[in-house]
Amino acid sequence: MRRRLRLLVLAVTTLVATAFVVPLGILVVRQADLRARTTAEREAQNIAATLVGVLVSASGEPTLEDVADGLGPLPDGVGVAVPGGNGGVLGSMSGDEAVVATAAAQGRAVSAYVGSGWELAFPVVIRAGVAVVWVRVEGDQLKNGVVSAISLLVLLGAVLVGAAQMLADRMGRSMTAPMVELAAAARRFGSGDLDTRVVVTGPPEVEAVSESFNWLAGRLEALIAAERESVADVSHRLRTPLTGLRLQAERITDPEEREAILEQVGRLDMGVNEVIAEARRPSEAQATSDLAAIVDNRSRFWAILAEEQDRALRVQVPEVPVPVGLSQRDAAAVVDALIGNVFAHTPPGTAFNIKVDEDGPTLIVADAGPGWADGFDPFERGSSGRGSSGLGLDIVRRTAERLGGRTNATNAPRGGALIEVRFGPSAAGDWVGGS
Amino acid sequence: MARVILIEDDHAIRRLAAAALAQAGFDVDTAGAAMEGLQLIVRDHPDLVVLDLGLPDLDGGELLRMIRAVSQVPVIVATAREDEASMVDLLDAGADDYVVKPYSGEQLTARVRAVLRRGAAVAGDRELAVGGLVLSASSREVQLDGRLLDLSPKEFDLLRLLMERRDEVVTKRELLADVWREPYGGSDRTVDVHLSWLRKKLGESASEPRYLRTVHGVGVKLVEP
Repeated sequence: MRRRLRLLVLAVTTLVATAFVVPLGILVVRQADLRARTTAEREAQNIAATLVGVLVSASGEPTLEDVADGLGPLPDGVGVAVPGGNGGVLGSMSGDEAVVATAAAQGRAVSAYVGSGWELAFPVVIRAGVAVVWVRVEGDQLKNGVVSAISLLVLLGAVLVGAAQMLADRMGRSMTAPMVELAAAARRFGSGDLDTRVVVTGPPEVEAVSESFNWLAGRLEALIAAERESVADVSHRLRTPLTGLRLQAERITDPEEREAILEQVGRLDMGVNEVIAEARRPSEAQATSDLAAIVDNRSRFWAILAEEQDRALRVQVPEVPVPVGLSQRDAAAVVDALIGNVFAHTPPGTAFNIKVDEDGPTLIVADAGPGWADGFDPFERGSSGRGSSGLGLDIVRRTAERLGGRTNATNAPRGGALIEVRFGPSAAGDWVGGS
Repeated sequence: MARVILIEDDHAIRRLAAAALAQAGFDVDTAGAAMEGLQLIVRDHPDLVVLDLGLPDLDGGELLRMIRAVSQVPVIVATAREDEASMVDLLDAGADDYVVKPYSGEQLTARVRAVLRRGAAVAGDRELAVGGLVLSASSREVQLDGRLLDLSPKEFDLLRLLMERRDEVVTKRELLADVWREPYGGSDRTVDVHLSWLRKKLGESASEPRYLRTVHGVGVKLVEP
């Protein structure tokens, strides 16, 4: 829009400048021409008047010398033709013969553009015939001052166009800035930042759009909040029948059947808890935490158990912060689930490594245990839960996927289980690997 | 035998929870509505009340305030909402403890026992002592041989439960249910790592235990060294 506005103003100001500069330029040329010719004409008349005086005061037929004495030195471009036997030409009489002849023949002043200049022949009738005063104005004299005057005009026109461009740009910016801001706000809102609002400013039409955007955003935010609250409420209500179910299940006498049903109830309970937590989760578009710091912190927390179980624990985190789009609590839950998994699935004494890679970022946990059995996927919901709910790694997987990342469980080349969790889309699509 | 009144409108839960409490050795009476429950409390002077918040005739919170107006009986609130604000409101209104639905029979009886024990402790010296270990519930402070220990809230709750049940093996499930309030969620490893920290702060280790004894495959118990 700014570009279009600038182009429009450029076209209009160029037209206006041209409309003024061209006629003014023509006028300047004509004025210069007229001024030069008038000056020459006056000069010719003066010389003619002097010539008449010389000729009248002369006794008998004037000689060329008498005339030359009477007129004095002639300026450049002026010539006098004296008729008669003692006549001749004075000065630089190299004028156009046709002009001079016509003036002499017709007895009237004749002027014409000859070559690049202008010539005037002025007849003076005497007894011996017709004397002619001739003046030539050269082309450069005819255009005297024209170049500088036109340059000035063109410069003025350019300044006008330039100033108009600057003005148009500023105006365009003031018009488009609110729209650019509005577009950015819409993008932020779309990516989950529901608090986004715009400052209502700019032309009235843009102001109206901004107001509508703010209203729409507020309305959507309220609707989403109500929707979440209603989901949470329904989930809360599910907890009462779940209590009955659990208490009833506890009374089943067959221990195997009782445990099986209780496990299902437990899973259902966790499902409800997760729905409530998800519904209550504030908009986390802006949430970021430092994965390196969290891994460092959680490793220290778990280190004591590792020490007690005689496990060598190696932690490799970059010295610089590694931002990840999760709240501190969620990031810590992921790290805890992965470390807890090592403790749950490997015997005491098994060493393990935790590494944070800035690419992704990616969290890698590798242990020196027996590794995964063939075809076993620890990220599948409800997979083996020795001493755990079996949901921990499922939560890790879903957290990674929420950020566009993914999880991978493999056996390391040198043995042991290797889990990689990427918290973001991968450009290359390959795992960074490593242990 | 401690007398417990259970106020719960859901018939099935009322019957099952009462059975679980009776099985644990409590003398249980039940009420299906707020007014009926209040009458029972005024008439029978129970040792403890378990109160469900979603009652048909009166909001459980209101009933709690009414109970507090006439009695100092310990009240455990059963609630479906575990968010901090709701908990603070309930505790401010006079609840002594809470269980979050869906609770298990074991969890409910453990809570009832704990509140009754605490009530007895309040009536007595308000302090728990095992050997050189002294825990003050009111100031939430623990001293070991006269030296103040720096414990996290979870470590404190863990130690308090183990001291309340000294010489008794407490399973990790029980600890998860009682301290973390996650009878089925959470991980045994979470308990392990907190126990490790507690051991370190008590100046002992798993290989050289003093107060905290691991009973492999069962749980942990706190003994006088």
